[in-house]
Amino acid sequence: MRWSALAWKNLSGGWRRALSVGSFTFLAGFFMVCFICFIDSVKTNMETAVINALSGEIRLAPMGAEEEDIFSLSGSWEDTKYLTKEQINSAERILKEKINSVETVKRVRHNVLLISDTSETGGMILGIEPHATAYRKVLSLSAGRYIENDYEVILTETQAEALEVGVGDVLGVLAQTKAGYNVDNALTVVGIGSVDLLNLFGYNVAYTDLRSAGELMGLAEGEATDVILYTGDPQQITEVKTLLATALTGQQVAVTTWRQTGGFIMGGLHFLSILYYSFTVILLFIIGVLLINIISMILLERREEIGTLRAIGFGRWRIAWLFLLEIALLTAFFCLLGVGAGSGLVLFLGRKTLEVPPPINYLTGKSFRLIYNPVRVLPVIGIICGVTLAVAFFPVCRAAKVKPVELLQEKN
Amino acid sequence: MDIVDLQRVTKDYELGQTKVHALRGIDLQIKEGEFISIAGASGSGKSTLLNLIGGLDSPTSGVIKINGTSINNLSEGELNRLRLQTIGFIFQSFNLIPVLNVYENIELPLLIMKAVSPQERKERINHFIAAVGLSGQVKQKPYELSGGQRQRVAVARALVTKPRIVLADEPTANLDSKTGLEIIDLMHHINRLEGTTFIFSTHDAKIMQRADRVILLEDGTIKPDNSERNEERR
Repeated sequence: MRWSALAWKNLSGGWRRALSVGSFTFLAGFFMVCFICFIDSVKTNMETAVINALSGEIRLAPMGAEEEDIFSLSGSWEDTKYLTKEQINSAERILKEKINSVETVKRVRHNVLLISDTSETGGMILGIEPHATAYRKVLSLSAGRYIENDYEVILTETQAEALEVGVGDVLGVLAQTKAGYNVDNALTVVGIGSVDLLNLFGYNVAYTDLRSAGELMGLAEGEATDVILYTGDPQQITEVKTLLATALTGQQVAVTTWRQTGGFIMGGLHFLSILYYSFTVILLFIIGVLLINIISMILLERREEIGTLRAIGFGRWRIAWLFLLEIALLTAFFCLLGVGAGSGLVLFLGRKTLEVPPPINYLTGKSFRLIYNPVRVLPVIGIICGVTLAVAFFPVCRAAKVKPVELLQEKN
Repeated sequence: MDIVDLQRVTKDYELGQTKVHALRGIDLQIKEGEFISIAGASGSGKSTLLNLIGGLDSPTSGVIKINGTSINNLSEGELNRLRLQTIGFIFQSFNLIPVLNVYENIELPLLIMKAVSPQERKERINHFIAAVGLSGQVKQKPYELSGGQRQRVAVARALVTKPRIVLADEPTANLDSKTGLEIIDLMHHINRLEGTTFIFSTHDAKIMQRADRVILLEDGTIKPDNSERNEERR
C-alpha cells in the first residue's frame, strides 16, 4: 500500500466528509472560472471599444500634449497642441515606407457648443477622416449612417434627445479656435448612436468629419490634433510603436500605445481588474474560513484514528502529511470538476451572442459574447489548491500535535 | 536484564481543583518473554501504568527503563521510534482503521518502517495473518468481522513490527468470555512461539489466570500478596 493509496482509501471510505470539503472547492472552481471569464470578456470588449472608438492601437500626438487622457483639457485654447502638416507628412511617409498598418486616421478633437432650434448643449466632437472604419465596429447606430462626407455629424442618443433633433436636421456649432476666435459652423445630423461599452464612463462624443472639426479648431488643411493607427495584429503593437518612435526621433511627435492612454476610461478598466481580484480574495477568504471549520470538524471525528496512529509510532508530521495529502487529492479532484463545469458553461454560452438587458449592459454592452481564455483559467486550480492546503495546514498540525494518550483516553 | 524496569514511578492528574494520584511509587521489573497480567479494579491505575510503559504518557516522578534505557527524557521522535520498533499496542476497542481491510490494517505500522523491504513486508503480514487465523478474511474490512476477529487483526498489527514488548489494555473487555479467552490463548501462544513479552491489563479473574505472573494494582500501588501464586504459575 502506498501513501496515496492510503489517502485515497480514507477519502473514499469517508465520502460524506470528503464531499463536504469537495463541494466547497467545486463551487470555488466553478464560480472563479465563470467570474474570471466574465470579467475578462468585459475587459477585453471594453479595451476593444476604447481602441476602436478612441485611442487607436498607436497614437501619434504632439510632444507635450496633455492628452494622456483624451478627455482632459487644461490651460487655454491657445495652449492646445496639434500636429503640423510637416509632422504629419513625415509620419505618413514613415508609415508608408516602414509599416504596413491596416488603417491610419487623422483626427481633430475639440470642445464645442451644439445648437439646435430649441436647445443647446456642450460636448466633445471628434473629427475623423470619412474613410475611417474602426469606430464603426463599436459605435452602434440607432438611426442613420456613419460619416461619409464633410459637414456631417453623428450625435449620441443623449445629445439628440437634449437637442430634440433627428437624422437630417442641421445643427449650429459654436467653438473657439486655437487662436482664441469664435467660429461657427453648420453640421447635418447623419446618424444617432453611441459606443455602448463606454456608456459606463459617460462617453458622450459626437463624431464628425475631419474638415469640419479642423475648421472649428482653426487648423489649416493637413493639420490634426493626433493620428491613430491600427496594425491589425495586437502582437505587433509594441514593435511598431518602437519602430515609429525611433523613426520620428527629433520630430517632436510622441508615440504612445492604447495602454498608455490613461485617463478615467483606462482607470475604469483597471477598476474591473481590481474588482475581479477583490472578488477572488473575498471568495477565497470565505471558502477558507468555511474549510477551516469543516476540516477541524473532520479532524475531531478522526481523533481516535490519529491517536491510534500516534500510538503505533506515526510522528505528528507524518500524520499531518497524510491528512494534507488527502486534502490535496480531494481539492485537486473537486477543483478540476468545478473548473471543468465552469469552463463548459462558459464555452457553451460563448457560442452565441447574448442580448443583455439594462443595467448589466452598461458593463457588457447590449450584445455580449463570453470569451474563454484557458491561460487565465488554469491558474485557478493552483490558487484554490494552494489556499485549501494553506488553510488546512493549521488545523491539521494542531490535531496531529495532540498527545496520543489524550486521544485514546477519550475513546476508552 | 529486565526489559521493563520501573523505579518509584508516580503519576498524578489534575482534575479541576482535585489532584488524583493514579500511581503511587510503583516499582516493577519485567523480564523479556514474560506473559504478565496487570489486574485490578476500575480506576486502580492499570491503563495509566501501561501508557507510561508504552511512552504514551510521562510519569510525574520516578524512572521508566525499557531495555535498560530510561525513556523519561526521550524526545517525541525517539518515543515514536520506540513505539514503532520496540512496543506493540493492542487496545480494548481494537482501534482498527475502518476504511482499510485486514491486510492493510496490519500493514499500517510497516509503512513507516523504512528498513523493511516490500518483500519482507509481505511475508511478515502473511505470517501474522496466518498466526492469528485470519487467512480467509484478508480482504475484509473491520465492520465485516466479529469482535474476536477484529482483536486478532489488532494482535497481528501489534506483532508485525516484531516488537519486544506488546502492551494490551483490557484486550478482552469488549469480547464475550469465550472469545476473550481465545484471544488471551492466542497471545500466550505467540508469546511462547516468538518470545515476545506480553503485558496486558484485565479485571477478569479467568483471564488473569492465564498469565504467568499477575501484578495486582490497588489505588495506584502494587499489592505484594500474590507472589506465591505467581511462583506456582511459573
